[in-house]
Amino acid sequence: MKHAQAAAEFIADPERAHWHDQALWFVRAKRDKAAQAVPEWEQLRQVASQIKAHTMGQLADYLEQFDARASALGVVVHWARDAGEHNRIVLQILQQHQVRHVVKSKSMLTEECGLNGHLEQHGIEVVDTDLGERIVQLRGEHPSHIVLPAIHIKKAEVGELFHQRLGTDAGATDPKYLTEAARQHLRQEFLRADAGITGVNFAIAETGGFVVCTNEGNADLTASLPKLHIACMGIEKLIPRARDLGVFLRLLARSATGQPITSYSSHFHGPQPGGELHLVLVDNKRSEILASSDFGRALHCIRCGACLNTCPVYRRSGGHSYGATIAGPIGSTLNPSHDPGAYPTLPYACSLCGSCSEVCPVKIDLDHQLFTWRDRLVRQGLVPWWKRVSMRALGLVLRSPNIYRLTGWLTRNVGRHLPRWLLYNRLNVWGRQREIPPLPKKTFAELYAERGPVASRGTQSQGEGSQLDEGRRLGESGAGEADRENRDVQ
Amino acid sequence: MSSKRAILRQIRQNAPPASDLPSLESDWLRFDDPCAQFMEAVEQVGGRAIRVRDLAALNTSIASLQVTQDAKKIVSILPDVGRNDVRLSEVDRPHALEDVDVTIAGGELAVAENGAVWVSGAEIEHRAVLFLCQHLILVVSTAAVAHNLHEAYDRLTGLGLVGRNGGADQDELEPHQSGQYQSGQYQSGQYQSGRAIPLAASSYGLFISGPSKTADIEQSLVIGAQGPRTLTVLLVDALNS
Ligand code: SF4
Repeated sequence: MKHAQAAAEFIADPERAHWHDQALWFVRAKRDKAAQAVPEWEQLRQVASQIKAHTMGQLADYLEQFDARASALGVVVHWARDAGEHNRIVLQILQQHQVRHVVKSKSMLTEECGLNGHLEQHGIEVVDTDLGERIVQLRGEHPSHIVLPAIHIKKAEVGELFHQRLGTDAGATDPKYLTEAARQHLRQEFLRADAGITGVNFAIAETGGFVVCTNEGNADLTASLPKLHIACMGIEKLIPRARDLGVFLRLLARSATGQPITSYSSHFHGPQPGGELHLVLVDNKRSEILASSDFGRALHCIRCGACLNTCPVYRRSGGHSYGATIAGPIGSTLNPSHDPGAYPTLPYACSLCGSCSEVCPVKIDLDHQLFTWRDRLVRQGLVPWWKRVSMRALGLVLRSPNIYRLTGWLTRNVGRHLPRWLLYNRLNVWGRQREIPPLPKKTFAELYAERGPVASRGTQSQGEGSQLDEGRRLGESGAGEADRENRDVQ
Repeated sequence: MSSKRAILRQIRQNAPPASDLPSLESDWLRFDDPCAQFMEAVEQVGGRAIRVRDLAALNTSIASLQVTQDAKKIVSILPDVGRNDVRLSEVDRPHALEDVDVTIAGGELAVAENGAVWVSGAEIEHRAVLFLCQHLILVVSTAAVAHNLHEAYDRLTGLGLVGRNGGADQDELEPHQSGQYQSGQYQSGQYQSGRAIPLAASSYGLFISGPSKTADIEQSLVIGAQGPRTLTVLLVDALNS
């Protein structure tokens, strides 16, 4: 489905849409506070971005190093070209160990691969143990946010769900009470699990270890009660040195939720005593995306979710409107990289405000990528005919000063007298929620001519310059949008 | 062709231009009083921090905590610290630790900027005991407080503290031999500031910052998700006295 259509369903309930918007803005505000408390924040972002760029330039070498070191620590390393191979590998490991019941901590990669469904088809029960993920799993849904999977669900709905599935009191909505019920329920699941599956936040080439970050502690229970631990990661999760973690862990939680670090940052270097540890490295198109000088940097993403929280479109349309595992600005560039034909409307789910790029802890040029995607989609003929025709018409108008003037004159003198039914008909999507603003009596060119030659070029450009400096200063102090506006003005 | 070879070949073909790996040396965030900052950070992330003078004061303080007074079953991984009701070496499966009320463990490092304590799994027979317990108590030396996470990783990776971080004696800078941190040997000095701790030598180690928490239901913070409901960090000035 097109993003705009799916979003229309979401905003059909304005109260919920407003609540969703506010909840995410609250998280964004916490992020700002946390980032501003670190004096070297911009330096950290810069260093993180450089580490990622360097790693991608030598990814094959680092993966080989990681494979060798991890194997030496007793980890069984597997390589999967795509989602299907990943799912087959995991299933095979589980079947070899006669596993019936698996607990899982959060992993967007296994979501991307559709692992749960695959295992369930083969008679293996999978229980997601992150509270938010458990909620969406019990509802038969997918996460709507990469860090806050159940951000779209209200506590009354969780209460109803838990009442039906976990036997909590009817009508109970207290988050504390509901979380306690989930704790008791999940504890039993941990205790009866035969195997645990976790994601990976960072994998360290120089040591062969990897790091998993959670607030609930569910990854650690997943990886320490059952003897069998399977960790699944995309190949882009690699970092060269253990010391690089100092940079990334300082950025990750602050960007995600405004915490200085997650409650648990667990480092795994080999299996637990008497246990088995498997690690599945998944490509699934990443090695293709790497080649793109326009979109390859999207692989630097550390999945903090900050770009989702800040995005005016995401906040008002909900994660499910993107129709993909990863929503928000990062999803809008990554998903078309996976399959442009399947996600041609996502790069348009963007106001080009640029706020995402300003908050991204690894400085991915998200707004530029989305803009570039639009160009690409038009060239590939993946936009609807009416958009192509109207853009061509606009091109014609903007190319010729005479047609431009004529169009302006017609709009001002004829357009405003047109009947409403003609102006606000079904074809005018823009006019659905908006009124055409009152049109000025005179054009800019007319006003400029009236002022005469008084305003000399020199003073004008000086004025622009100081405005730009102002913008830069604002940008540095974190008011990203002001900075961006200035860039657009340029 | 194996998947590994196919993937690596494709990555090599598609590799973006090479660029340098940046240096991690910088004047990262430091504090006038890292211990005070650490204690404040622990409180901010929902934990409780208490500073005591020595081992005797530590034991008094632990015994006076409500969580230990109410506890039926306590596991202390530190010899001579607190009460210990379970011999972990005699426990077959970690599942048997399901009813542990309080776990007392040692931290090797503390980080002032974020209230995190580094706990190495090397000394813990069943690491699940850190998560199955209802309440967690961590003991760490004031000498082991690092200003920021970079400094913490420098120590964890055996880079030592030459010049930059202060407080370390020359003889503490030598990277320690692997195996030196076997269980029960914690008193031999691994709490000392500046002791290099090689990260990869233990199959498990983690930063713990505050108790287990979640905000997955309508962004309301709830303490006590799947792991410990409370975290108490005891900072000890003279641990080895
Ligand atoms: S693109 Fe950047 S801001 Fe968005 S989730 Fe990834 S790392 Fe975070």
